[in-house]
Amino acid sequence: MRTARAAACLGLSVVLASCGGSPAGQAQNQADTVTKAVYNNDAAAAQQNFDDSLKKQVTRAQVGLISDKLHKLGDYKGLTYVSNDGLKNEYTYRANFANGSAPVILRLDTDGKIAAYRISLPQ
Amino acid sequence: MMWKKAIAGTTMAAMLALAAPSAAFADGAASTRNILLGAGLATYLIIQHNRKVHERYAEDARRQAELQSQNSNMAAAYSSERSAYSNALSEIVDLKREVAYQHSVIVGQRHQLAMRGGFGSTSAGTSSGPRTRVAAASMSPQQVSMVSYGWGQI
Repeated sequence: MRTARAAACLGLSVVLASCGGSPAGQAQNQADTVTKAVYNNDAAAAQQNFDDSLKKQVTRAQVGLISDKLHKLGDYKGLTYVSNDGLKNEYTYRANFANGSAPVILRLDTDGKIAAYRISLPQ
Repeated sequence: MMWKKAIAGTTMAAMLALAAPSAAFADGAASTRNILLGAGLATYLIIQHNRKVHERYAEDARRQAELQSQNSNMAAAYSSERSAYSNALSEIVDLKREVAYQHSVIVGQRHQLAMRGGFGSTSAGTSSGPRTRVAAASMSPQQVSMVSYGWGQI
């Protein structure tokens, strides 16, 4: 009886985990993960949700360059939702830092993988 | 009188001709951008003009209300105050439109920056890089350079 209950709980947990929330929430989580990873100069973590073609474009040097620029804005404080374009599957957020903010645009492909990630920063 | 009109017309034509080359010499994309910028500027000027007109109406009505109040004409003063209030409301609506327009321009420019391909947009763009023109609080234009970093095209 106890084993059956444990199995049921485990099954429910797996089903809930696979849901993953709304597309906008999912996109925000992915954008947040990438931004945090880039901020921490972690190239592997930054590209873990990228689609195959995008993964080929990422280099450690690029991640390091953006990381340096993000650190100039101070501590990373998370993302704020700005807008989304349902037709293009594009999501815009504001990345908040201790000393400023920067717009982040994320595009997801049909599989929910990141097809584009861009952040605008002062030169 | 005819001479004066002719001179005024010639001056205007000369001014327009001087303004034209930037659009005429530009390539296709730049020409389209210039036309869009021109249309945007016209919209902005119309919104600003309307706001100024409402501002003027509100001031006139307020002045009239003060005069009527001094003359103990309370009904007329009330009516003028109401008119001033209504014009002030219109002024606020115009201001909101102006802010919305400026916001849309900024959003559009940010989007254009993000649309440029390559890792950093300067490497894919022109040698001087993309520049966003932002008006400072003092209303004097100030150059702020923004670069879009990242991977993939938006």
